[in-house]
Amino acid sequence: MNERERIKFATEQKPEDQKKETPPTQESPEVIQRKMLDQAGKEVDVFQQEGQQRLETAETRAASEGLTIDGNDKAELSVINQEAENAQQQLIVEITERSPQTPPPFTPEFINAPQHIIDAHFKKPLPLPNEHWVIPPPIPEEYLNVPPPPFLKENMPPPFPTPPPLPKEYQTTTQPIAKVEASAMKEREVENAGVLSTKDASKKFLAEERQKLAEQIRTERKLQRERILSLKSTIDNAISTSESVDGLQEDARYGRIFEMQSAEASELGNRISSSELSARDAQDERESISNLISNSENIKSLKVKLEEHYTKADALSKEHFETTRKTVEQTLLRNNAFIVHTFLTEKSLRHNDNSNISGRATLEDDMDILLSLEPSISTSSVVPGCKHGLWGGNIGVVLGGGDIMGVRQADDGTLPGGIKRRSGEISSSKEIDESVSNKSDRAYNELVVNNPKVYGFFKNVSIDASGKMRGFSLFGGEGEAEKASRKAEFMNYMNLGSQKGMPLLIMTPDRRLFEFVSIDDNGVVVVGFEITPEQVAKGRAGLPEEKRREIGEEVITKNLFNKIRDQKEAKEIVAELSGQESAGAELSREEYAAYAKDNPGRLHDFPKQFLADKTFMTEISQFDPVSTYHLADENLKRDVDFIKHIYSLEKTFIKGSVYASMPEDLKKDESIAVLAIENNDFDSIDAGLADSPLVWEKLIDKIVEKENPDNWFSRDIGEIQVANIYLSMSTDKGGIVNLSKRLISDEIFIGKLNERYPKYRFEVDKYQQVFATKLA
Amino acid sequence: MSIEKYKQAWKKFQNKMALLRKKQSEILENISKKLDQQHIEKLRNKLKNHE
Repeated sequence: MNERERIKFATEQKPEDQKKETPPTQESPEVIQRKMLDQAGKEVDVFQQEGQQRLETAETRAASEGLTIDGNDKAELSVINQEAENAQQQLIVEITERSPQTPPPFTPEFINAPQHIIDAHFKKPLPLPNEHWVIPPPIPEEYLNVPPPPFLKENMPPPFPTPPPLPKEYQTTTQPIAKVEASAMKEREVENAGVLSTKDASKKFLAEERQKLAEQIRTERKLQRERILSLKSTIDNAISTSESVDGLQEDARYGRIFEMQSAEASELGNRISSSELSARDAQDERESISNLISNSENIKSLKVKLEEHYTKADALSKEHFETTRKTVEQTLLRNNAFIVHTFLTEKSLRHNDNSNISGRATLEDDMDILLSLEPSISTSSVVPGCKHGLWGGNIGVVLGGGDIMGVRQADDGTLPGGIKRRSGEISSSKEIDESVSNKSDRAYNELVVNNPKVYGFFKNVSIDASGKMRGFSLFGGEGEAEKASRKAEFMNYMNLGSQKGMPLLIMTPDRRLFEFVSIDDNGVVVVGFEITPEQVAKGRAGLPEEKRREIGEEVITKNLFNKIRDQKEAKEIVAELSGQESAGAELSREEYAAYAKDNPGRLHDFPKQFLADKTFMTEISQFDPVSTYHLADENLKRDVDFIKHIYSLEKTFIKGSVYASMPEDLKKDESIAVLAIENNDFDSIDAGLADSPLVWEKLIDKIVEKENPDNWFSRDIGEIQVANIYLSMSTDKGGIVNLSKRLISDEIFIGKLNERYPKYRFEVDKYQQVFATKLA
Repeated sequence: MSIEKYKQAWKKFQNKMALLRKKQSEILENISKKLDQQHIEKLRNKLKNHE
């Protein structure tokens, strides 16, 4: 009887049977209750995962055939996923008699702490009596004020009114406990999401252009100064020599021009501050600025350039503001939410056809890739205290940084387009806020996050009927060995997260996060402080570059990407982390060969020079001969030595035919066809060779070999069986010609069968069927 | 809480899950059918264009 049947059995018994039945009836209601909750949780998980798998299969098909999946259908799937979670919640409410509006009865910082510590610290009022309340008998006088035995002394709270000392991990401080301080993630300063002033934006985003403009203005000012001096000297000269009709009038006129243009020059001068100039130049400028004049086009053109510069700076400032608002950290701060990326723990489900990572990748590899390469990933947002779904598994990471590309309220069916790119919606910060801040009960949403920075590693827990957090259920066995195994499984995940330098966290079903402290042998989890979205947004996140590079280098050696271009991108990312030019990060010949070894047959994106390199292709053909031939350069495919080498490898026929992917004209070559037949590769021999006596004879010989009746006769002497003889050949246009009748009516063929298998007699009846009779 | 109440709650949950499984299966089949239709439509258009 499996667990589901046991529950069914236990709950469907008639009351009068309950005393007789074992073992289900011997279980207490609490045990049955817990088992029901565990089973319900599993059913909902399986339901959601299966739905997700089938949807992904459909999406893969749609993507490969250029079709589209109706968004309404996807939305409906999301709705029923949520309904499943609601049904689970309803069950919890019904069997635990918990009010649906009331949150689980635990106090954030003290969950699972001994009750006397909680009560003493919070001075909580005692619960009001109800029908479940059992009033304890009064404590006899002699037991009061008795000193505790020595072994209890250490754990006894001091007498009233001094508050009891709290265990270290529960000390209420404003600082996070050691576990979070132990984070290997990088310290950072979170930028304020404000619009920069035009001047600041110009300095920040257009520094080079600004410098150039400042230089041009300075040059122009110098020129003007020289013009002034020259002009002044001309005027002075004119006045002194009385060459002018009215020298004074002329002087006044020039004076006005000086004044107007000086004002203009000053205005320009003020906009580009003298901070760009050297101290001496700045002083020089200040002294002479009021004297500047010019009616030249240069100043006008500079003025236009300056206006354009500041318009551009304004636009960049706005763009920067929006980009900053779309960062994970700012989104967390504005919406008081977490953004998480979950891992599937079931190996076979973790990397499907949509993934760009090989199925060989372990959970640890997945973590390494995430932490080192910071790839574009799919995430979901949850608000603490809300019923928000998450995709898949019960472990994951909480992001503290990154750039959000977009959001969809349901599954967006996003696909990787490399390591640092992912398909999906592109949304504004306003649209992101609308989805992330949504507190209503809902299934998971999907946000694509680029350059994700991990804050911590979390494991989901359930809350049992008594309000305690459970890291594993006791469903399916409460024996010491079973419990130890589940605890070990729980701790394996936590240890892995810890090894990777991530602070360990616990996530409750209502999406609150707590520091993980410990788990006892019964699966009860002890936690520390509650972690807020603000702490995540401002805390350490993302590994330091040096550590990322170290892990990244190890990731590269494992050749875990399904496409060689992603492998190359990984190398580029690691090169950048080492301060090198990413463009120079080419894969070496040895690296291509190692990739081919680890990923047999995945040569699609290999550079052409490798696919044409006979030595290289011969070397790697041992890993997947047929695929190597399929993807070889056209000229190499014509190389008879290469073909013979491929045929010589023992795994040749596991994945298909070499002959089928030969160039069409080569297929018509009699000697090549004979070579293929001799190597048992004769399922698609060119039909044009059907009349070649040599090819026909070779085909007959091979089919005679293949039709060994010893393989399909096993009964009595005298038994007759029909031999299913079949032969087809291919045409140029990919068609098939059935030549079975011609083969059967060929007396030489029947004669060879009888000659080769003397214990049988082969005959052809009037319906062109071959009968074989087992002889004595 | 009596076993009877557990039984009722469990039965209710099972019924709901059965209903949801049926619904899920219908939606997924529907998705598949729609993809088939789109595929056929594409082939038809191809043929049309060749005529």
